[in-house]
Amino acid sequence: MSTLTIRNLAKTYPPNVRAVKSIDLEIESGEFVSLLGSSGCGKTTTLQMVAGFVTPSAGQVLLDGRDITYLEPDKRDMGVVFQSYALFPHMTVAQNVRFGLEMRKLPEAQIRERVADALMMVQLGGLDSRYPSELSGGQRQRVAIARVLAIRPRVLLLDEPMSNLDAKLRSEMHVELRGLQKRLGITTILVTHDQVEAMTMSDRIAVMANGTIAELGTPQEVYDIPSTEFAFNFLGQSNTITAKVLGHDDAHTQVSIGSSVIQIPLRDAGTSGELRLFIRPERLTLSSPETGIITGRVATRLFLGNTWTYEIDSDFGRLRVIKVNTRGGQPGEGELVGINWNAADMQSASGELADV
Amino acid sequence: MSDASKSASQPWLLSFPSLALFLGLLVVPLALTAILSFNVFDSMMGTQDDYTFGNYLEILSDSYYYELFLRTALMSAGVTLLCILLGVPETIILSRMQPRYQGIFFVMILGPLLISVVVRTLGWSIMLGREGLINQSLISLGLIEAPLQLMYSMTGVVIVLTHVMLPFMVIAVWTTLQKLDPQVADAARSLGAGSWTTFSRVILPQLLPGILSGAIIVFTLSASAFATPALIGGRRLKVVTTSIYDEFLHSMNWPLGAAIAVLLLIGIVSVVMGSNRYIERKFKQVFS
Repeated sequence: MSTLTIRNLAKTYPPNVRAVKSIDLEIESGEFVSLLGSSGCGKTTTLQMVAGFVTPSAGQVLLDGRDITYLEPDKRDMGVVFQSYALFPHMTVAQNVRFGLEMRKLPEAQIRERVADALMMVQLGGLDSRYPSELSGGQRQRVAIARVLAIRPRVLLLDEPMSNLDAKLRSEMHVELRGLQKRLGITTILVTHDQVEAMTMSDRIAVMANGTIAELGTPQEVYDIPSTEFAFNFLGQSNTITAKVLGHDDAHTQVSIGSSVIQIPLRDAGTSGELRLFIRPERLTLSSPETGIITGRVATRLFLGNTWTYEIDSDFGRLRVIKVNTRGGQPGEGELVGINWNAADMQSASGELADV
Repeated sequence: MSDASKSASQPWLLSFPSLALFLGLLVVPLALTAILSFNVFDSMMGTQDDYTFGNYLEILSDSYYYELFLRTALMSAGVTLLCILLGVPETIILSRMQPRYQGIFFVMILGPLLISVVVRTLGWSIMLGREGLINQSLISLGLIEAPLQLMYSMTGVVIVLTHVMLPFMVIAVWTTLQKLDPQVADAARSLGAGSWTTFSRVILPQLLPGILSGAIIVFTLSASAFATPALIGGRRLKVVTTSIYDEFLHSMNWPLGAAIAVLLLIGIVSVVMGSNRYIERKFKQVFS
């Protein structure tokens, strides 16, 4: 399969809109990388530059070491699945799937075989002669996937392909598409604003903001040990706590928050001044007031079925705690509770969001 | 009045003004023309009260009228073809312009419809004359030796009709073009199609319904156009509409004129209905 290298890629639209500032990304052969970000972060523009629909203002795209930055899209051998699916409405399912094969001038027998294979892979056998307007949203998406898989692309580019599906179908497609991608070993880039989608499908996630990559790593890395404040708040939820640095030894930094003094892991937190700390709501646990590291009073609680979301006023400010809904009594509003956490989970953001 | 009868009569009451307009201004005159076409005409005494099929028999047995209808059909077909060849690329170019230029060019394209038919046609006759701008430019460029016969010719009529019919084609194609998913062209490109293949196999087939409906409008309006063939074609190039005019106002043979008019109407209606049925059958599944 193929490796894709993106070097200093940038796109500026006139007069001076910097949609993508500078992207560096190395994608291994067979790897699944997601570009995750909210709208306007430059993720789609990046994908379009890789596909060849948009000409970059600067930088390079290399496919297996070969510079394809300015190559026409029809010469790139990339399969793109679009948000709108972009099926050809005047062609049947089979005609849609065979289009790319006809462009490659394959012999008829081989075309038939590959069309049948591709439709089988996405479980659409028997719908060959339907038109896209006669299919459901989920079926249309399968046609779009079959159409690109049939050409056996060197790179698969997915542009928010699941955003028009309902929640249940979407999570089924996540599993199915990821399975197909692994089995075929296709190098893949997924553009999405859906964190769950990015987390469940990717080998690595590139969290994008302001036209750059803010955070890059495996789903667990970017969630558990992000280096930027942006990532702490963008991925999942975080409690933000302002602390004052007191000093540090070889392994820890001592900080004071309100009237408490605690230790946090030393991650170039600095030796003095103010520091912002982050902890995930599900990493805070509740106990009786005597056994807590700190105490707080329950302000509100929300029942979500499998979990309770607590808002607790404490010495650290208002903290959000997510507690699994277990059997037995749950602290009620106005009750005094103890709050505990594992020292390693209270982190600082070492990196700044690059503002190129 | 009970609620039930009130609700039953309400639609009729509400649509009465438009129905009255439709009846008074379209159905009644058409019916009168149809009746007139069966009246007997006497060259000495004018229109009589008796009824006959004679007018129709006269038309159907005279090869002059076949030629007349054929000429009209060819003229309309020529205009339609030119409108497709010019209008489709024009619309695509227009759709890719920046919005502020789009507005300006839209007004320019719609321009012919905003100018009085007489002014526009007289303007063209100045351009098309033997000493006109077009002939003079072609001669000074050395492309032709002697001036072309543009006035009072089929070429001239087709050119001028195309000019005024083009907006209808552009509007019809534009409407279809707006409904196209721009990503579809990208999809074709990434699947390996070059720009030309993308256009011919993906864009153009999707534009066909718009082109066909534009073609119907252009064809019917050209076949029933009067002022342009009358002023540019003149006496030397008669079409159906100008011959109806002549029967009514020069020969004073109103029944014969009415019969030609009825045949023209039947011809146009059958072209429209035939094409509509074709479009519906062909594109039913594709665009729902």
